[in-house]
Amino acid sequence: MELTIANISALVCIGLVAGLLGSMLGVGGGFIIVPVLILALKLPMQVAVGSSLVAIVANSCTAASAYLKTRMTNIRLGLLMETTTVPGAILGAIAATLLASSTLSIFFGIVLLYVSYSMIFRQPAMTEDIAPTTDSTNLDDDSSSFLGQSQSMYYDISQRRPINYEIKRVPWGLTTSFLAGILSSMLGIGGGIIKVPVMHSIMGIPIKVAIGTSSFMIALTTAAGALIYYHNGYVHPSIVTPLIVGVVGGALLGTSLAQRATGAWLRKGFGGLLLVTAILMFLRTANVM
Amino acid sequence: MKEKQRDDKLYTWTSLGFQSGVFVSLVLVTIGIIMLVISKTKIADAVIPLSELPQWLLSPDAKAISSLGIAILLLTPILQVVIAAARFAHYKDGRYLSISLALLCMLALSLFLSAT
Repeated sequence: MELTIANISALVCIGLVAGLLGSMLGVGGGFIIVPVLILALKLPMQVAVGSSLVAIVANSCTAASAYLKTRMTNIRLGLLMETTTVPGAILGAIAATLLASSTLSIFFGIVLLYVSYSMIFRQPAMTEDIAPTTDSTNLDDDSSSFLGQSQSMYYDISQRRPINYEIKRVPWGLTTSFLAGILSSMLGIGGGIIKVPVMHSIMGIPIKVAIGTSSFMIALTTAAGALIYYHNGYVHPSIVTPLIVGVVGGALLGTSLAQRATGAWLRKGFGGLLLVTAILMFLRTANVM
Repeated sequence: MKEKQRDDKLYTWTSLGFQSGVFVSLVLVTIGIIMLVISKTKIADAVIPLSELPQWLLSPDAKAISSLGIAILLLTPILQVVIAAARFAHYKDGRYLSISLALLCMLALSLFLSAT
């Protein structure tokens, strides 16, 4: 197949949609790119996944850059959590060759359904509704000192004010992040699907910071994976370059919308994404897809 | 206050690092797309391996420029950890310098394991 203006336009559009949704919800966007490349362009699985990983890196880098400006990305927390996600991903990749993933997929699908229900219908665990404070003394809990930060803060554009927040249960977060690494490797799903709910529901981090920090973390882990696909020749410039252009455009729009959206709207949007992912996992396990 | 100023610099540098990487990559891949269309490239052409890239760039074509843009994009996030580690070293923040270096080692290990 030759690279034509029509092909390029289609790839740019796919990238635009993936970049918009991925950056808004702190996930990669591979759940859109991979099926489209396989079904519409009839590309081999490895090439579709390799192209998708490069597009996810473009998406996460653009999103992380924008979120860092308003401190929606917590660099220290992201780096710390990555130290358990990466070993988890390595272990998951090894385990994937030894274990059947169908049982795990069903179990994980049920967990996703529950988390999706919680995010859509239940009240938030905390925190973007907390009144702003300039007094940092009440934020010095064990987890904050574990992180070496006296306080964490981001600027909420929708509320036009800085928001202080506490990071809770860091050891729990690190443990879950390790499990997230294993699951994402074993089930071939993006880490954001797990990391965002963990940071928000378990660690009490505002949904916007969870999304921003997830983007930063996804950029790191995905880049390592994408370099392998690049090294093995599964990245095709004619497919990837239009995707990058589309994804960067979509991510710029998505980050702008996410910063202006309310936390409640983003929680519901993410809950909806988890619901779709859970259904897709059940369908894949049942060999419908 | 000093801690806040240090943090501001860390966030500004990291954000700028991501922005610059994406911008340079975007410029190169856009030039690459135009050249790919003009040269009527087939969709199935793979990227040029990183080890062969410098040689190809001596006489740049669509594939070489696109491959360079993609390689810069993929190295951007890893470079940000290096920049963060350098900032932590500058601030004498041993805890996060160790975390950043440990993370770089893990990423290198995962690359090595996957490649072999």
